[in-house]
Amino acid sequence: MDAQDSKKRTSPAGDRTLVFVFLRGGLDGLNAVSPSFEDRYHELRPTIALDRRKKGVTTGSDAIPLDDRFSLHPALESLLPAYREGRLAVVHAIGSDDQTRSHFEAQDQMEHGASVKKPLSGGWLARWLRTRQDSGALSALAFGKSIPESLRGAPSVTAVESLDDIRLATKSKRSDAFAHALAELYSPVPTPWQPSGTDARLTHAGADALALLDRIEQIQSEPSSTADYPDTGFARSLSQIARLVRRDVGVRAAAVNQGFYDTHVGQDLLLASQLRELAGGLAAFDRDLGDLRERVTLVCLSEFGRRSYENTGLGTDHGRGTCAFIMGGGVSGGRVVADWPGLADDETEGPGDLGVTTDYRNVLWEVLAQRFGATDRESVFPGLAYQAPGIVA
Amino acid sequence: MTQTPHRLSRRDVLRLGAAAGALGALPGCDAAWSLLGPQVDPLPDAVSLAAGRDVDPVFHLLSRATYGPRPGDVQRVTAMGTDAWIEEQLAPDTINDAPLAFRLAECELIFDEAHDLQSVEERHIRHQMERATILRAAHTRRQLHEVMTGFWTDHFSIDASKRGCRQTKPRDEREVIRAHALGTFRDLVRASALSPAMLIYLDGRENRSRTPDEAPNENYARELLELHTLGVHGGYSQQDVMEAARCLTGWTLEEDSFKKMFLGASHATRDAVFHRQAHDDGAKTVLDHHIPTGGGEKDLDDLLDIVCTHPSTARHIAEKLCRRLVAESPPDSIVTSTAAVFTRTNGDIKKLIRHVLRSDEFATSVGAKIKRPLRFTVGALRAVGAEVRAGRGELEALERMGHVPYAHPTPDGYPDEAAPWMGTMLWRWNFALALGTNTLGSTKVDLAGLARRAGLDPRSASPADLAPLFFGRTASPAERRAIDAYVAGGKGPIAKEEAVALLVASPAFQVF
Repeated sequence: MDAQDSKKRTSPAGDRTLVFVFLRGGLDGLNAVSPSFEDRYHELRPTIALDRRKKGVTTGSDAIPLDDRFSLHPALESLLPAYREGRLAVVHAIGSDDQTRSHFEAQDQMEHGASVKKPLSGGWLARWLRTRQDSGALSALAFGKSIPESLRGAPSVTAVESLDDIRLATKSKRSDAFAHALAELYSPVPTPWQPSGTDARLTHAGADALALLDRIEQIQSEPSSTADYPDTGFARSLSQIARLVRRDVGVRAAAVNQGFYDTHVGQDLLLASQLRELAGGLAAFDRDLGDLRERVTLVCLSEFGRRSYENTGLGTDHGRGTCAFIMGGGVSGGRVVADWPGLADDETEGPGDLGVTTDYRNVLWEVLAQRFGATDRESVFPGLAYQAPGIVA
Repeated sequence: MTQTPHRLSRRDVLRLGAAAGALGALPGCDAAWSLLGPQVDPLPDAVSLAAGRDVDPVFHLLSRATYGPRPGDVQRVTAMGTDAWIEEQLAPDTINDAPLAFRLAECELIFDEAHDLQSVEERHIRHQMERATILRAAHTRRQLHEVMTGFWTDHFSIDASKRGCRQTKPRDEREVIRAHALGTFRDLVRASALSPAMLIYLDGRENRSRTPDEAPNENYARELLELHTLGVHGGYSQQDVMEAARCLTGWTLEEDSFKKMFLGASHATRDAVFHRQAHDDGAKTVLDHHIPTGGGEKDLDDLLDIVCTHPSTARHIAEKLCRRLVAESPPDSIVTSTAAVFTRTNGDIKKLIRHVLRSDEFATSVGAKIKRPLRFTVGALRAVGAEVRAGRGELEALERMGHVPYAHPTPDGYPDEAAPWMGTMLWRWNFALALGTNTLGSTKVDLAGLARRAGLDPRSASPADLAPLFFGRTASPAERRAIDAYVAGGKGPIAKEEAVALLVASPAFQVF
C-alpha cells in the first residue's frame, strides 16, 4: 500500500475538491441536451430545434445521440469521451422552486441553497465549509472579481482573477526579501519584549500563509500542463484549479462562472459559442486531471431553463427546468438522469416551461454527502426533504 | 446626531438611473478632501514617539475603545487623563463631530428612509453604506460610540442583502443601533424588535395568528432569546420560544398597498404597526412568568421585561461585551462583576463600559486580542494619520478578508473570535504594502510628513523608529533587525516605505 492509498483510506473525503460552475443567464437545457424523442419538441421549436434532419432540414451540424431519448448539442461534442467513459452525467429537468423567472432571484436562491419555503441569505458552499474543521488560506477559492453569493460567509474565502493574484504585492519586486522579513517577524522565538513569544495563533497563520506563497510560486514556475486548454477565461480558471489540486494546497471548494446563457434572440450562434467554451474547458480539465480525477467533483448548474417554444426573435425566454452536468470523482456517468415531465401543454409549467422534477439541492447534497463526508444536512440545506438522485456514489 | 444636509440634486439623479454620470463627478471630492482633511483634523506639528518596552497603557485603552490611536492621540489623552477621556467619550453629543458630517456628505443615502431608497439601485445604497462605515470608524471623534455601534451592529446583525433589508437597514442603524448604543439595553432591544429591517430580516412581520390554526412564525422570537438576550445556553425551552412568538403576533409593517401592487411586498415597508386581529391574545407563560389574557400590544413590553431582566441576559451581554473589550476568553471575574453591574443598573450600557474599561482585568489584557479585518484596516490608516477616503483599496481589502459591513449571512453577526479570521494574513500583508507604498487609490498616505512631525531625520532614521505609532512601544531588537535588514537590502525611499509596511504586517500590529 503506497502513501497515496493510505491517505485515501484514512481521510477519504479530506483532500477532495468540489468545483461549482455557475452557468449564468439561464441555460436552455432543451437545446444543450435535447429530448429528440419528443415530437412535441420539434413542433415547439420549428426553427431552432436540434436534430433538424428529422424534420428534413439538413443545414447545421447534427445533434449527437446519447441514448434513445436525448441528444447532445454538437458544440458539446468534446464532452463525449468523459461521457462515454462514465465520468460525466447529465441530470435533466433539474431546477429550483423559484417561480419568479428573475435572474437575480433565481441565481441568489440557487447560490444560497434556498427554496421558496426556506429563504436563506448566505451561500450553501459557505455553510458546508463552516461545518468542516479544516479551513485554510485557500480552502475556498472564487475565480472572479468578487466573492460569489455561494461562498459568502465561508470561514476564509479568496477571490482571484488568476493565481498570479496570490503573491506579495511589493512595488519594489522584492517579494522574496519581504517574505523573508515576515518569516523572521512571525517566528515564535520569545524576546524580552514578548517573554511568552508571539501569539501562537499568529505564528501558525503566518507560517501557513508563507508556505502557501511558496507553493504557489513553485506552481507558477512549473511548466504548464500538457493538456491542451482552449484560450478562454473559463479554461484558464479550470487549468489553475487543476494545478492547485495537483499540488494539494487544500482547495476544498472552487467557484467559477461560465458563459452568458440569456439567449432571448438569435439563440443558435450565441448558445453554440457558450457551450463550446463550456465543453472545451471541461474536456481539457478532465484530460489534465488524469489520475487525479477521483479527487475532484464538478457540478455545472444554471439558475433556470428556457421556454419550451421559440420566440419570434428565434430565441427563447426565461423558463423553469434545465439540465445540469456532473463530472469527476464518484460520478456514475454515461447517462442522462431524468424523471422526464414531458412537453405537452398539460405537462409544462406556467407559460410553457419544462417542469422541474429534480430539486437542485438533492444533487448538491448527494455530492457533499457521498464525496466529502458531509453529514449535517440541516446546516447546509435546512428544510430539504432529501431524495437521493443516485448520480454520485 | 448631526444630520448631513441633503443634496437633492445628485440623489435625484441617482434615482433617475443616470448613476454613471453622477458618480463620475465624484473624483473632484478626492482632491478637495486631500486638502481639506488635514485642515479639519490636523495632526499635531510634533508627534511624540516616546515609548518604552511595554505597551503604553493609554495606547492600550485607545486600541480597544477606539478604532486605533492616531498620531498625537496618546499624548492628548495622557495629558487630559484617561478617566476624563472616558467620560468625554461616554457623552458623544458633547463632542463636535461636524467634520465627519461633511465627509459623510458623499454617503447621503444612509440618511434616507426606505421609501426614498426604493427607487435607488441597491448597489449604490450598498456602496454608500460600506463607505460610511469605514469613514466613520476612521474619522469620527466619537470613537467609543462608534466602537459600540460596531458591537451592537454585530449583536443585532442584519444581512442587508436579504430582500427589503438594504433599504431599511440605514434607518435601523440610525434609530436602533446608534440611538441606543450607549443607552439602556431594554430600549435598544425594544427599538430593534420594532425596527422595519429586523421585522423583515427575522420574519417578524409574518408572525400572525388570525385563526387558532395559524401557527406563529418563531424566527425572531428564537433569535431574541438565543442571540439578543438570554444566550443559547440561557435556560429557555422550545416552549418558551413558542410562547414568546405568541406574545409578538400581530406586529407587522404598515403596508403601502399601491406600491405593493406594483413593486412587490418588500417595497411596501413603512413603520411597525400592531394588528390586534392578528394577535394571539390568550394567556402565555414565558420563562415561568405568567402573561394574562387580553394584553394585546402590551404583551411585547411584558415579554421584553421578562427577557431583559433575566439573569442569563445580564451574563450573556456581560460576556459578549468583555469578549469585545477585554479578551476572547475573558476572565470569569470581569464577566461576573460586569453582569452584576448590568443587573444593578437595569442594563445601563454606559455604566457597563465604564466598569470594564476601568477594571484591572482590562488593564492586564494588553495584546490579548487579534484584530478583525475592519479594525486592522482602519487602525492602520489611523496610525499613519491618513485622510481616509474609503475607496477601492479599503473596500477590496475588506471583501477579500470577508468582513464587508452588513454582509454577515447569519443573524449571529461577524464572530469576535480570532479563529475564523486567521486565513486572512496574506491580504493583511498586501494591504500593509499598499498603505506603505501609497497605492491604495484615493486614500493617500504621507509617511515622509509623518516622520517629519515625529522629528526623525529622513536620511538616518530607521522605519523601526515609527514602531510606537503602531505598537504603542518601541520595536524589539528582533523587529528592528528584520526591518533594518530589509531597508539595507533595497534601494531608495521605496525600501523604507515597504519597511513601514512590515510594521503594519507584523504580528505586533495584528494584536491589540
